[in-house]
Amino acid sequence: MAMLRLSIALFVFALLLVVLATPAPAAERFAGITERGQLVGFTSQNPFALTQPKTVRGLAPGERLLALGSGSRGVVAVGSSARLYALALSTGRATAIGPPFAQGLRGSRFSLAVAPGSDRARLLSDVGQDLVVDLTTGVTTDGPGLRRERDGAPLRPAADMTREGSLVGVQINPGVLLREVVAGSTTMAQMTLATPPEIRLGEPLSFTLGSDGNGYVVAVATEMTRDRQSVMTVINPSTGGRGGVVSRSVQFFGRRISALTALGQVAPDRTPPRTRIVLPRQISAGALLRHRSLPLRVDSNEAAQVTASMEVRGRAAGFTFETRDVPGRFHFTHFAFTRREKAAIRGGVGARLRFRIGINDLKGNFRRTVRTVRLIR
Amino acid sequence: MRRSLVAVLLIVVLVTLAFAIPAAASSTRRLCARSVALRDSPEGFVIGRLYRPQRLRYKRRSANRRWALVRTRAGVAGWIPYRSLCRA
Repeated sequence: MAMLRLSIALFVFALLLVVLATPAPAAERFAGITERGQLVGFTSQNPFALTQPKTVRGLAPGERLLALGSGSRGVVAVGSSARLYALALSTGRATAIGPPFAQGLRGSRFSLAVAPGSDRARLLSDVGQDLVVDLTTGVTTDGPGLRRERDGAPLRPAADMTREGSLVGVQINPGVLLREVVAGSTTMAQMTLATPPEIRLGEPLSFTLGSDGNGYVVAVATEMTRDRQSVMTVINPSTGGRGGVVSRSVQFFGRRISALTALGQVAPDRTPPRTRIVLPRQISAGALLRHRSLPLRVDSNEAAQVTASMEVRGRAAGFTFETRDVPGRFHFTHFAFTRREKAAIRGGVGARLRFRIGINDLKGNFRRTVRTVRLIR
Repeated sequence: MRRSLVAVLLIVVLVTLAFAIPAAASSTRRLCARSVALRDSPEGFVIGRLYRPQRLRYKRRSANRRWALVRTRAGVAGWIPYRSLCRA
């Protein structure tokens, strides 16, 4: 009997060790360009949570970055003045590499396909422009254009390049995955792309291959009430089927992303955001009900959602939340009180108003704080 | 003996009521739609996607009664169409 107990205890202990020793799945890190031309960073853990957008410096007046890639000399970008730039992600500084492309640019959507560690890239556009770009000198030569293997039809995918140097791309409406039959052949085999059935995708479309072996498709969700949001879908770049964690196969951005590139894997974020909460010592019940805004201010170092529940004398006196896709300051305006909450506030004059403040970084990390203030007339 | 039993029962009822009052502001509801977008305001930006079956804390309805303010078990709050919730 004792032996059996010991065996069970050892088994449970071993199981615990296995669970604790299993590393958390890493997240893919990306750099992206928003539709306003700002540089942002995010991970596959939740692309909604962006880093503070940076204005790209060093570009010609009025110029915007159209495509991003990551090669032997780090992150490179193509600007709307048909120029190649080296991009410093930490500062947002763009440094021109060579003169503008002799061919100029044709199209409205571009992708810069670069194999990891390579010094050559393919610049592909939505109207079929194909340029081979030397990432060291910025010199371009005309590419042969991409053709479908089945019938030789021209293809215009958003594409990236595998480690072996073969192109992989996607097109939407209808959604297809395109893979170069042989590296450098420019003939592409076509497969069905698993697009999310509940969301219709539209341009701008971009695609990048992650170091985790997944393909990341970013397109605009056109059937949303507001079509300024991009979504990211994770695919298997060999089959076109869904990749990654199924429950995260469609993830929303809070804005439009016009270009992105994968930067490698990072450890998943397991820390709640650092915050600073500012609340006055007392709050006027009359002003609260009249202005319908909370004198609560929360500063967060990460994109987050802040929830605020109020209680007075043990009764619920209001609930609100604010969501930001970038770090910064949260304000709580347009507060709508129910009749019961209004009564609780009116009846609670002179009592302590209790705030339960929750800060969620939308990556599963949560911080809770309780603050009390005096409720005055 | 009977008196102490009544006293204990009374305390239990009072404690339950005390905890029930703040909780009365929200109830648990299940998501009946296959998947639904969680928005930061009615007809606002999508902040996530919820899939069936998911238990949600139902807070209240919008003024036009088409939207429900809910909170997921992960603590994320947002608005979903009221009709996507299972009947209480």
